[in-house]
Amino acid sequence: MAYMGKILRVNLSNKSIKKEEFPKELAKQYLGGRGLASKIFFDEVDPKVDPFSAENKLIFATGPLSLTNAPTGGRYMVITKGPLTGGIASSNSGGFFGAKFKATGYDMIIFEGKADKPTYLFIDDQTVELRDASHVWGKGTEDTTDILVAESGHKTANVACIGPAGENLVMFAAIINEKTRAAGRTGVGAVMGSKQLKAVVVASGKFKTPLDAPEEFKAAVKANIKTIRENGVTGEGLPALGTKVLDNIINELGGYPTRNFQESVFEGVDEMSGEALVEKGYLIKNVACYACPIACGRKVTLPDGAEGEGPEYETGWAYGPHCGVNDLISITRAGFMCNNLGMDTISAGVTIGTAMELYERGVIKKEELGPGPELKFGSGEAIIYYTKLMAYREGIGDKLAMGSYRMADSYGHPEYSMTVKKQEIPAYDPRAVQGQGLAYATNNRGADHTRAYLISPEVLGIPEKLDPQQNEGKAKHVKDAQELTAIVDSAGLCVFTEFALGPDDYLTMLNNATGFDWTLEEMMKAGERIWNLEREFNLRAGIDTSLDTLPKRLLNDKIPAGPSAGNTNRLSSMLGDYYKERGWTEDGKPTQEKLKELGIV
Amino acid sequence: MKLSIKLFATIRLDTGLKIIDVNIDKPVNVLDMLKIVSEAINFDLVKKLIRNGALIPGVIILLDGVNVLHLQKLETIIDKDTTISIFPAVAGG
Repeated sequence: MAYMGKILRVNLSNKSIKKEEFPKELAKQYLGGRGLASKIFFDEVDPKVDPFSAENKLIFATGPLSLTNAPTGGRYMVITKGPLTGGIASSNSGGFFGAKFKATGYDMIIFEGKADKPTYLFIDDQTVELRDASHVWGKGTEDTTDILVAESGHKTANVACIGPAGENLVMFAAIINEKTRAAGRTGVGAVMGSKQLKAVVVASGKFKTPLDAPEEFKAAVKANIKTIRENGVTGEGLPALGTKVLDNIINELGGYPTRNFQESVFEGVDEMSGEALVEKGYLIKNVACYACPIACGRKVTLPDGAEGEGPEYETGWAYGPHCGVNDLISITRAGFMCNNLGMDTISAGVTIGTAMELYERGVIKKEELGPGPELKFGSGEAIIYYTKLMAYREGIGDKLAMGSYRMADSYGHPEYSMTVKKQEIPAYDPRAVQGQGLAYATNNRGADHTRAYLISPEVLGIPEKLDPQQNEGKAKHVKDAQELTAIVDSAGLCVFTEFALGPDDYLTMLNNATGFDWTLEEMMKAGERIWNLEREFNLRAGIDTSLDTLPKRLLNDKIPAGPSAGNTNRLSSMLGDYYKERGWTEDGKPTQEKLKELGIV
Repeated sequence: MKLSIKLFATIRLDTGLKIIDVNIDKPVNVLDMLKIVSEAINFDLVKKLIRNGALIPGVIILLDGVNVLHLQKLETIIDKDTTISIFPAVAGG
C-alpha cells in the first residue's frame, strides 16, 4: 500500500522503456523516495563511475506519502552520483510535479545511458515515450516549460527540466519544476544534461495513492494539519515572511556569514531582509506547494515588473551578505536568473563570493574579467553579470562553473573556498552554531543544512533550546536529526513539517498509509539504514573520512566581531563522539557488524 | 538605563517599528521589560510571545545577542544599557 507498484526504467542509449515491478520488500527497509532509490542506485551503479558517463544513472523517485493529503505530500527526489561532491546525491523539490508524476501510476523512473540527441520523456497515464527536445535545447527553464506544456496538449501538465547550466555541465546545475521549484544541490541537473535529457513532462494522471487504512490515515492527517496550523512557526511565521525571516535572526546571533565568511554580521541586512521584501512592496502573495498548509513560497514582483518567486533565505544570503551586496533588487533578480538558467542558488552565489575574495586579494586579475564589472564585494552589477557567464561557461564563467572549491584550487588557493566535500556551505556560520558545523562536516552530500537542521534547536529552540556554543551532546542530536530527516525525505514530505511534527506523528501517517505496522524504533532504524548506505557508497566512491571537516578558516580563525566574536568551530571535540554514536570505527567507517545489523551487506 | 529594543518579523510589520529606545530607572526582568515595551508601542508583546507563563517555542529574545533561554528566561534581570532583539515564533531554512 501507498505505492503505485511500478517503476519505469528508461534507457536513453537504446531508447527502451520498461515497466518493472516495484520492490515491495525493499520498501520495508528503505521506505521509498531518497531511501529506496539510494538502495537501488547502490546495488546497480559502480561507486567509482564518472558522474557524466553513460554508466551513471539518474533516478526520479516519489515516497509513499507523495500524492496523499499528508501535509506537504507532494515532493520528489532525484538520486544520482553528483558531480560536485563525487558522492551519492539526492536533491528534492516541492511544487506539484512529484504528486502529478505519481498519479500516472509509477513510483519512480530510472534513467540509464545517454541520448544521442536532446530528448525529453513524455508521460501520461497511458503513454510513456521519448521525444525530440532539439527545439528547446539551449532555452531557459521558463520557455522550455511553456513550450513543452503547450506541446503536451494539457494546460495543467507539469515539467521538470534543466536550463543552459545543466546543458553546459555546470557542476551545481539544478533540475527545475514549475519554473521556480528546484532539486537544487550537488549538480543533479548537470547529470541530466550529460545525458541530453532536457525534461520530464507529466501530462496527466488519473491514479490515487492506495492507502492501507484510509480512515485512520485521514484522521492522522487532520490532526497533523491542525498542529501545523496552530504552531507559531508553521502557522504564522513561515506563511507571513517565508524562510527569509531568518536574515535578522541569524544576523542578530552573529552567525550570518558575510563576505565569504570573513565576518559574521552584515551591516546591510535592513535593506535586504525578509521584512524589507514586504516593506518595499515586492512581496505580492505567498504560494503553497501540493497539499501544503504552510505556504512559505513567495510570489514577488520587482519595480520594473519582473516576476518570480523568492528569494528564499539561502538565495538572499548567498547573493547578499556572502557577496557583501545589500541591493535587494539585484539579489532577487539573481535568484530569478538561477531558476531560469537552472542553477543551485547557494553554490552559485557562494562561488561568486569566493571569486570576489580572490579578486580583492589580487589572485584573480582584472584582465581575466574581460569586459565584465570588477568582482568587488558589494557589487550588485557583478552578481548579475557573472551569474549569466557561469551558466554559459563564458570567459571566467568557465571557472566559476566548476564551483567554489575547484575554482579556488585552480588558482592554488583552495583555502578560500568555504565548502565541505566540495559543496558550498549554506547561510549559517558554524563558528556561531557548533552542532550545525558537525552536521555540515558529516553530511553525506557535503555542506548542507537540510539533512540535519541543528539551527532549529540551537537557535530557534525547537523542539528544545540547545546552547549553540556547547559541544557536548551535539553528536547525538546530529545523528537523530540526520535519521529523522532521512525518513521525512523518503516519505515524500517537506522538512519544514519538522518544526511542528515529531517522530510519532510521521510514524502514524506512515503506518496507516503503508500498513508496515512499524514501531518507532523500526522507523528510526530505517533512517539509520539509509544514512549508513549513503555513507558506505561514498566511502567506496573514494570520499575519504578525512573529508569530514570544515574549511580551516572556520576551525582556526575567530569570528572577528559581533555577538559570536571570538568563536571558532570546535569540530574535533564533537566528531569522535559522533562516530561513536553511530557505532562506526574511530576513523569514521561503518563497521561490518553495523552494516550487517542494518542489512546493508 | 537605556534599553534599545529591536523588533522583527511580524511584530515589525504589525507595528511599523524597527527600533525603539526605552529609559528605565531601576533593573527589570524580561517579563516586566515586555510589559513596559508593550505599553510604549501599544502592542501586546506578552500575548504575542508568552503562553502558560513561558515563552512560546520558537520565540527569540536576545540580550546583547544572548538568548534569554540560556540565562534565567523571563526572570533574567536587565540592569545595564542593553540591546534587546525580539522575534516572534518564526523559522525557515
